[in-house]
Amino acid sequence: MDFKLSEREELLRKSVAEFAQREIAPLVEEMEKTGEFPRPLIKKMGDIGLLGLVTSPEYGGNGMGFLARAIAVEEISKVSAAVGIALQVHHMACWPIETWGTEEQKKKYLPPLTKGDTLGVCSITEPSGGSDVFGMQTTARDEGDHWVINGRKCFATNSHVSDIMVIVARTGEDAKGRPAFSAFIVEPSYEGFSLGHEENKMGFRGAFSGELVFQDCKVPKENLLGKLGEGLKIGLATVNRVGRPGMASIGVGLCYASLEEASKFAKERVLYGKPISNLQAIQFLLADIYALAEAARILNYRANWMMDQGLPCDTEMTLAKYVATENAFQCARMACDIHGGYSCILEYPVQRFLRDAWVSIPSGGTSQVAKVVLGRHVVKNF
Amino acid sequence: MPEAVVCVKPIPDPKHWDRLSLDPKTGVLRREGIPTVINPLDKHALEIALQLKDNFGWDATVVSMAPPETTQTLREALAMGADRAFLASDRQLAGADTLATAYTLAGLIKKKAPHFQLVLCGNMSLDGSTSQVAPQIAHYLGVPHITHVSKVQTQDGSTFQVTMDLKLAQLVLEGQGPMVLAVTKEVNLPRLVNIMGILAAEKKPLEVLSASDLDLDPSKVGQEGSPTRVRNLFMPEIKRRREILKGEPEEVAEELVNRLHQVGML
Repeated sequence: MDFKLSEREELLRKSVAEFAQREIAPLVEEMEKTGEFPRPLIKKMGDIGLLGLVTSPEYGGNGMGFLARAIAVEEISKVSAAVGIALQVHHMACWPIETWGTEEQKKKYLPPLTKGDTLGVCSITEPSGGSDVFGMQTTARDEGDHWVINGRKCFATNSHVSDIMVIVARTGEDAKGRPAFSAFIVEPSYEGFSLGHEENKMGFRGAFSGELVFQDCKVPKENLLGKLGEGLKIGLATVNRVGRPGMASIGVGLCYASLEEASKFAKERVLYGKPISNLQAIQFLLADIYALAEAARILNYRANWMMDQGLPCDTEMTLAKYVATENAFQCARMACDIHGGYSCILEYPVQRFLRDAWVSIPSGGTSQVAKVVLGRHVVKNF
Repeated sequence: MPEAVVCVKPIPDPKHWDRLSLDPKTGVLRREGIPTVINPLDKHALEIALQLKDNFGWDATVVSMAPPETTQTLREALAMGADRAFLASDRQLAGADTLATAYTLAGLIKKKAPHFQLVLCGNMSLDGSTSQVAPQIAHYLGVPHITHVSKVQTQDGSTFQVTMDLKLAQLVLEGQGPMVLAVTKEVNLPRLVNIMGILAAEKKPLEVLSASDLDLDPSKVGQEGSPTRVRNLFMPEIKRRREILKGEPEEVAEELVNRLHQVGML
């Protein structure tokens, strides 16, 4: 068992951290105030290769893989979890297109997605719920030479800045009479598509979350992604193998951001004539943050490494997401405890970590949904 | 193709300098566990070479003298866009002062890039801060040098207008290679490493050379060949002092100014 990251991965971490400090850190304050995503950042992320991490070189990506993606999203999220989620949801559009798309779809959509000419979104959740996939209300009707989609997706990250959407809609029933779903690639310029409500969130401020509205939206026939009836498989695989590890990586980033800020503050803050880092009460908090951060990171790297090896990893991805996002909240909470009253001041980033960590927990499925998956796994295997 | 050689020094990451300490017995810097980075000014030097590569088709070669475990920093230079890297690494070279370092690097340049047009260095390293190595390399190579370079311009990739920042004045010099330039951070903004660059760097040549590969005079390298001896290395003691001045505001203010003058703060 080799836990050492390769020279390539170490260099990636360093380079992404430098990028985040130079290009993202100066934007955070404005993003917090306005809730707006800085669109020029998309091109910059494309130029540096962040958008093409899980896309093959033949379609414009660099194909560095999922462990590399975990490291990159983690480093970005240490500086801005909002940019972290925008990036990871973008990958959620790229991956199903490469995995299930036709050659024409891959050639048309992937190069601009990886270069940063376009930003992607994968959206499944509807006002009726996200984890209750069979309750999905959006329909797609075959009209011969095109599809007509009706319905509404909500909480879609990148909603108002995305150019390419991967969505899942109900297309009829299967042989057993159960609802059947299919996946589609939709462009915002299609007739009948509009943007709906934009959420005003407590965390991930600066990453758009909003509604995608389809009213008799005409989608070309060739934009069916995968085979008819494969929508649920495509949607769930994308959430399990791309979305959840993406959220886990954001969680790990927040854990380490909390660790670094808490340690820095504890060493600088002098009480009773000495830095508070000398106090065991503070050291115990730092030790707990460290333990939670390391545990989350190791689970996340393992799950992503398994994905790169082509091993079944849905359970491991869910485990990593559950632990990392919950740990992120605990780490941020303890970092706030160490900051005392300063944690309430917006100039100190620990309060942002707390808000971001809170929003990361229900993103990609609540912890309770994760525990249903993990509980079933335990009952079946142990 | 004209060739620019960039001298790169791996140093302990300045972000973690609070973790540096001195061994009280030996006076040697303890740097265990502290990551190594390219000396920040050397990245500005590399950026000049990369712009010459982008705009005029130059070759960019990176050279360094450091322990073998620092190859990652050279790989980073390759990921930024350099074409090849040479690392002089040998126990015989350890403990070198600036003169022995410059002698070794000049030997490496003569051996691996004898037809260079420019040798580019950071004006100083953040950990050593001597600013001596670049002029000493120029001495051993027998070419002119310009230090404190804050601007480099060229229309044709052959004649260079170089601004030397003298703090109170600026000196603009014009000339052609071969020469050595030592640059400040004002000279440019170094590019970021991109992921395609990281992958490309894995296929670029990175050669590690020993002292015997470089045809060097053994009496001029390493600790043996270093005329400089460190007599003492210590962490300065920083103490807070508090004194309350009493009296009328005008008197107190005057006294305060006097005191600050006395300790050299004004």
